[in-house]
Amino acid sequence: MRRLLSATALIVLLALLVAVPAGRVPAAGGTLKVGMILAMTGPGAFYGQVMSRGAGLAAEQINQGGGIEGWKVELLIEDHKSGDADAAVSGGRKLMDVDKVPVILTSYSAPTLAIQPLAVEKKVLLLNGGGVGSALVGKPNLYNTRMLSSQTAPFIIEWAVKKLGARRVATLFWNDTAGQGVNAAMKATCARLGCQVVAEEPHDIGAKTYSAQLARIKARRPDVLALGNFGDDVGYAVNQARALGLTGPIVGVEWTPNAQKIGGDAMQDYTIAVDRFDPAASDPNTRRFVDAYRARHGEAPEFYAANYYEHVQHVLRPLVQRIVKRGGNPAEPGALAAEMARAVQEGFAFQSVYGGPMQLGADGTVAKPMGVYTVKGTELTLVGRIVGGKIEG
Amino acid sequence: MDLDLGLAAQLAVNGLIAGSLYALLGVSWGLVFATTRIFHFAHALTLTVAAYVAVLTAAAGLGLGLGFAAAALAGSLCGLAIELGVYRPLRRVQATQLNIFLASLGLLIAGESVLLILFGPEASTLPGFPLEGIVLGPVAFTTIEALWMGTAWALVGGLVLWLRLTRWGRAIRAVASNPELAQCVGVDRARVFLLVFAVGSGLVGIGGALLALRDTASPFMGVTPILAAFIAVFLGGIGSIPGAVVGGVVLGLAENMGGLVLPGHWQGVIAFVVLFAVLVVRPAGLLGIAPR
Amino acid sequence: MEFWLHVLNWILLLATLGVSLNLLLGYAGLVSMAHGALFGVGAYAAALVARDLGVPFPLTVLVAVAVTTTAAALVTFPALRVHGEYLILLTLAFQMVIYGLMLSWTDLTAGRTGISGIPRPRVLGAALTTPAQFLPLIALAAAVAFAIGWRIGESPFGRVLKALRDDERATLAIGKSVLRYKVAVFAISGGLAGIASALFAHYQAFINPFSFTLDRSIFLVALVVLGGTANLLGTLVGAVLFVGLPEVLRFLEARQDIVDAVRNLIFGGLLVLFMRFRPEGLLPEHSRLGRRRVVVPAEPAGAAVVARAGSRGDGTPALVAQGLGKHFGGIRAAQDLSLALPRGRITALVGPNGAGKTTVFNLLTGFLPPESGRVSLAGRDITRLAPWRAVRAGLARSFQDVRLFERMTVLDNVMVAIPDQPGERLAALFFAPRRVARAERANRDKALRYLAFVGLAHRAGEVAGALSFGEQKLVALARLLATEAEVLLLDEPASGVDAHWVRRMLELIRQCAEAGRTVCLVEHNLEAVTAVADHAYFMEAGRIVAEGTPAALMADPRLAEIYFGKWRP
Repeated sequence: MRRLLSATALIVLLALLVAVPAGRVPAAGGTLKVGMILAMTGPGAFYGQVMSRGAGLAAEQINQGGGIEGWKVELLIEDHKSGDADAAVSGGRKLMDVDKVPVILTSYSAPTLAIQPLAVEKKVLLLNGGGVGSALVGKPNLYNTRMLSSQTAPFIIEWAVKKLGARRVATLFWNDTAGQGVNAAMKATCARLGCQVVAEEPHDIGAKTYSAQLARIKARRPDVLALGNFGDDVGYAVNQARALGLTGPIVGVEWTPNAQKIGGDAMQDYTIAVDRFDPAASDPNTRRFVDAYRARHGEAPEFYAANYYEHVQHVLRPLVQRIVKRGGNPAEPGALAAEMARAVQEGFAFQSVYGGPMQLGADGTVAKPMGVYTVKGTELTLVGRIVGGKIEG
Repeated sequence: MDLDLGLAAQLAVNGLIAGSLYALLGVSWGLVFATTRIFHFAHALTLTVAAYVAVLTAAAGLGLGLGFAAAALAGSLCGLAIELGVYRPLRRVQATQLNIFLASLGLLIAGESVLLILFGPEASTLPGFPLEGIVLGPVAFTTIEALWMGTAWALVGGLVLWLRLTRWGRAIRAVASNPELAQCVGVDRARVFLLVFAVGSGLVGIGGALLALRDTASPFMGVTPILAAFIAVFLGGIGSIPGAVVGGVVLGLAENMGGLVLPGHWQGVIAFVVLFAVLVVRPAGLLGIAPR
Repeated sequence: MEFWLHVLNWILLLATLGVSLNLLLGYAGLVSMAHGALFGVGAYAAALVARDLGVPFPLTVLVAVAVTTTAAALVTFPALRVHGEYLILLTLAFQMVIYGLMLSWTDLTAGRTGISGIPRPRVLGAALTTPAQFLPLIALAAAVAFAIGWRIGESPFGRVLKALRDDERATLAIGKSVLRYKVAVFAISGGLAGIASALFAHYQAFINPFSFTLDRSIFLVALVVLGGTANLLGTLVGAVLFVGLPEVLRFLEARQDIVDAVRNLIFGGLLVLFMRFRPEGLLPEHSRLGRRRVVVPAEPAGAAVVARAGSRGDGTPALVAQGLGKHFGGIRAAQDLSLALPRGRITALVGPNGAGKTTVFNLLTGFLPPESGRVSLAGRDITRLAPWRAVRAGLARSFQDVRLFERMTVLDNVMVAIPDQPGERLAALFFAPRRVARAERANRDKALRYLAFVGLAHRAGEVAGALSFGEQKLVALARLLATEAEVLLLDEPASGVDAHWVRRMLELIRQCAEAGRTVCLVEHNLEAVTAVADHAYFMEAGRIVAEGTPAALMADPRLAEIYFGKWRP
């Protein structure tokens, strides 16, 4: 009898355990956990910091306004130590397994590629606003909200040929798929427009010294130097190119305030074509972000801060709204990833913090407003718009 | 591709520039290694600490000259602290060469972490030197690189003279070539050790400031240049100061002249291939002084 | 839960690498700063053949093992000639070259972007993806690696490795081919790393050079040293502490950048403190765990143990050297040296400091190749033999500075010297374990008898370095006898110890000769020489200037003058 009683009690207990989570269907929201795997330590820690600030600001704005349809946003940040795939995988496992996040915001090519197979298994949506390697294209569950450098590179070569009279172009680029993608795109454009690539020099990411590459480039007497590198490396490369006596125009695909500091006066007239975020733009979406960011952190937001703000505010928000409207639960595994695929399929127009809409493709690429900018003083100035694949300058 | 003389000249100049810094770093490490036989990996920490001291001094508005002096002093003090606080106690308990090497590694890891906590991961610039290009026919280099060469060769030359002409210099050479014998003729080994740590670390401190001047200072800046110093010393042959100088220049030239046949990003690999080859073919180093 | 299984998988993978490194570093004393690169070489090999050539899973492990074994052997080739700091630098160079290739040879490795889409292993038709599914596989690999590492490390083979670690010259002098052991241990270590690397590539399904940096190599060295060198359990404990604990820090509510820096600070600091206060690591080599006490056999050991079968002390020449010559730079270290050692007799080599007596030993035993002349042992020409081969031929020497294997036990010091042990061959170790065990028991008894002969059997279980100098000299004699060489060259056996030890040593030497062994000793203590030697050669400046009975030589005033200087009356 006693045994029967205790058996019954056990069954009831088990039934309760099973029933309670099943019965707790959230009618009016809950907490949406958003994972981030960023460069919180290592040489890229600056980027991790601004990215987490951007996303944090969006979460704060959402939560102060009562959440997205009642769903509060909670950010959980893990560190990939500026590109360490092992650290990214451990962090990703923790986010997906322990925290059960339905979406992860990532940066850098290698960490993103490292966790992508896990994300597919766990039906987690990945948004990348930092890495620019062409290997990031066509990966299930992964959407890039930054234009790949191979998308922007053709325009800067077109600019160089048409406005700067480039005939002999030398390229200096990151020795990885991002840099090689830029180089390949530049060569293809050159071939189309009738200029000649006279030197192609890859370099290690984070190199401080470019003397060997620049010596080889100089020996080929180019009239334009085209850079396919990113971050601080731009500053070092431009600075040393000038010091080594390369006097022709220098063009590229990225500019950061830090690179400007490193490059100093040598950066004058450096010209880029890019999907560039302009903190001075008058677009209401831009203003809402820039003013709040400046009030909080005392400085204008960076391009990278903008991309991760955009992830939460302009990508996740509409997705959650769509799911809730349909009566679904956005925190459920796979809901966000499936909704993203559906939205992209339908050609849903996401808003961009850059101003205007941005178009995400099924292969995970994005089309954003672009322009050609040149360094005047210590700031970038818009010198030409790129609309519908044409430069208007 | 046929040989381009202008390119060769430019690469040779680049090689000499890099080589003079390698020579300075090599001599600074080789002096410590030849005398104490400690595989002093933490030399990289000394370099970094000195670079930051230079940056802080310059940032405080005291000028670049004082910044360099402060870097040399900080380097010396850092080296002395490591010898007195770590190596000497280890020798007292008869630690093996391997254990001393591991402690040196541990010290480097710990020290870099402290710098990271204090200064963050971002690079800090060392301002105050007018950066201009100097163009001489087919070759070009910067004023900073001219300063590198001038400083490095002055220091290396000074060190060689000091070792040859002064009493303490001769004592160091005696300990380096035969420690037991030196002890017998009354050279105080402990004091000679302190001396080489002070001098070697002071030199690497200036090297750190030179690096910061061109490439900025950051917590993990030390290891790569110190690896170059190891290579310079082993290329030249342990225990030979002229050997380290030759090794440094050969290394700089090999890395850069490699650009005649290979794309520039292979530079870093070339250095270690050269080292590997020399260790395999001529373990005693290019100048052929046999290892003990 | 799954996350913690992932952490466990990581611990096991790094422990496997640690075991592989511990064999090199802990047992053989060979530092490798290239284990991160070796790990990478295997991972890239497995990843590329799996993804691009469609090689299925268990085969990829074999490919990785083959590649890492070859790569490790590539390091070995120059590493055989260099040691100490040269080895550090050489492996460092290897690490940097491999890492550079991974970064720069983008056509093969895709550089920093890495290799993605590495197929998951399929077992019974189902692909393994989750940490839980991988755990049995990784645990099995780790268990295999531990088993192989343990079998090799704690065997006669491992005993030679430890000897090599403690003193390379002395290892040659007991007749072991240092070269063979170095090549073998590098290859085995490489192979074990290969197992871990292939599993890692499949498990992560993505690799890039970041996983194979110098930092990883340094981490592995630190892991092995902190866990305990020559103690595989220590490596496992180290992996749990230094791989597992940091993952717990992930759950701290603190800034990750600070947590990371503090973690490294603690790690580096621990390394320094351990080297100062506990250099043997968390679990030391001679921990009580799993070690049997040495039981001294009741059977009393007399001089019988010293006698070699078939050796007759008949006074016919056992070793003959003719016209040996050698010079260093301008100094003639040996000039037209000829001597003969009669069987079963004690011959002494005397002369002032710097006369070249130890050089003669070096020339006879192959430690220094003579420029001219000929050495023959029982009629066989051994002039050009490597030192270890000379020992196997029957000519062994001791060292003036004793050169015991200081971190090994007294018993192991003697056991390691016994020739032709089946457990020194890897094939026998794994495929004829019974024979190995049988031989091991016999050799143990034999070694204990040698120790009983010198009167130190009761100290067999102690670490050799802890013995007094006099005792160490006796152990060195037991070790020399254990080589079973017929001709024994003793370098200053009675120097540096007091009269009690001298008497004891001389008595033992006399017993050796009586048992039929041929002895030659270099000795400063002329009283000792007079007491034991049948015949003596007098050397001066690299030449033999006189020979005769010790008493006759002592009586020659001219020789006394050379020996003691002119001031002596």
